[in-house]
Amino acid sequence: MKLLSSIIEIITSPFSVALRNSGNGKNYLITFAKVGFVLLVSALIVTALVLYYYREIIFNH
Amino acid sequence: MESIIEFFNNYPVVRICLDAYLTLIIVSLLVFLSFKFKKIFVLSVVGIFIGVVAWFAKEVGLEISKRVYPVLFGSYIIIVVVLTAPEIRKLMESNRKIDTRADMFISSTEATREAIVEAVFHMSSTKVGALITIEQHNSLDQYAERAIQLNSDISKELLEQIFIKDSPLHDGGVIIRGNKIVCAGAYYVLTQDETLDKTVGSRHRAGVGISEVTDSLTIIVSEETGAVHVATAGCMVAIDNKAALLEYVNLFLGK
Repeated sequence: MKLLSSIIEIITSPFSVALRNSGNGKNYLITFAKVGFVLLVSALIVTALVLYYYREIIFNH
Repeated sequence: MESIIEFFNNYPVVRICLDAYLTLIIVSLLVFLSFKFKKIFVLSVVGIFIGVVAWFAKEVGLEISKRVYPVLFGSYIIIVVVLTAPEIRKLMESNRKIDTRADMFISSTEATREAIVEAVFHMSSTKVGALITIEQHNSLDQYAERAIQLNSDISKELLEQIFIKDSPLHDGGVIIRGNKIVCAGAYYVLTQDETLDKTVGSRHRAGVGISEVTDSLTIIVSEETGAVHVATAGCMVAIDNKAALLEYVNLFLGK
């Protein structure tokens, strides 16, 4: 369990800048909503990039 | 290295996931900065436009554009970094504000608070400029290290003596921690807040500046008018009587 939480912490650490600067730490719902929105927009952009650049691998399989 | 390449060739899903994750780090940072700072948002839109034109020119075969736009796009990243340096610095400082926040802080006694208020309003009546910063959870050591160390007990007379016009200590701010004056002659980064009036002087800008990057309370006495202001969390409010200042300090430090 400790190993799993360490892995999650390492994976999510690059997004800590957004997490720490998206709220005053008092209202977690607003903080996570802001981070969630940022990650959602980013994920959409990355998905579009992945579908474009890996189109041959993805659509040929 | 070859074994890694072979592994990625055998497992393209891993390669795609890793690539997507690494891209997500950069893209999420850019999206976050774009939402937080209007200037970065505008520059990002321009950057996307240049990128799209560069891609379109390459795909369609526009001979001049496909050579010009990628060069422009490469140098555009450097331009963006230079233009957005203040915003990035502000972000890093606000990160530091969270990182260096201690759970506890040294509180001061009622007598100390009263001595500060008495000194402030005496200096106000005699039009002696002053900049007094009271530390809370964020350490002000990095500013104190470059100033003149005092580490002395607070008294009304000492505070007034520090800010007397001919005193070598009167330039810069005094940092207070608990019941001690840590240092005098401390210099802070001035605020870049454009909403402040153009006539606001450097002492007031320094007071607002330190309140933006730490959770401290700064009391500012104007040398020209004798007006007393309090700066905290990047905001500055005017205080016109002792009771209001004492109430403000008590509220801030917790009675």
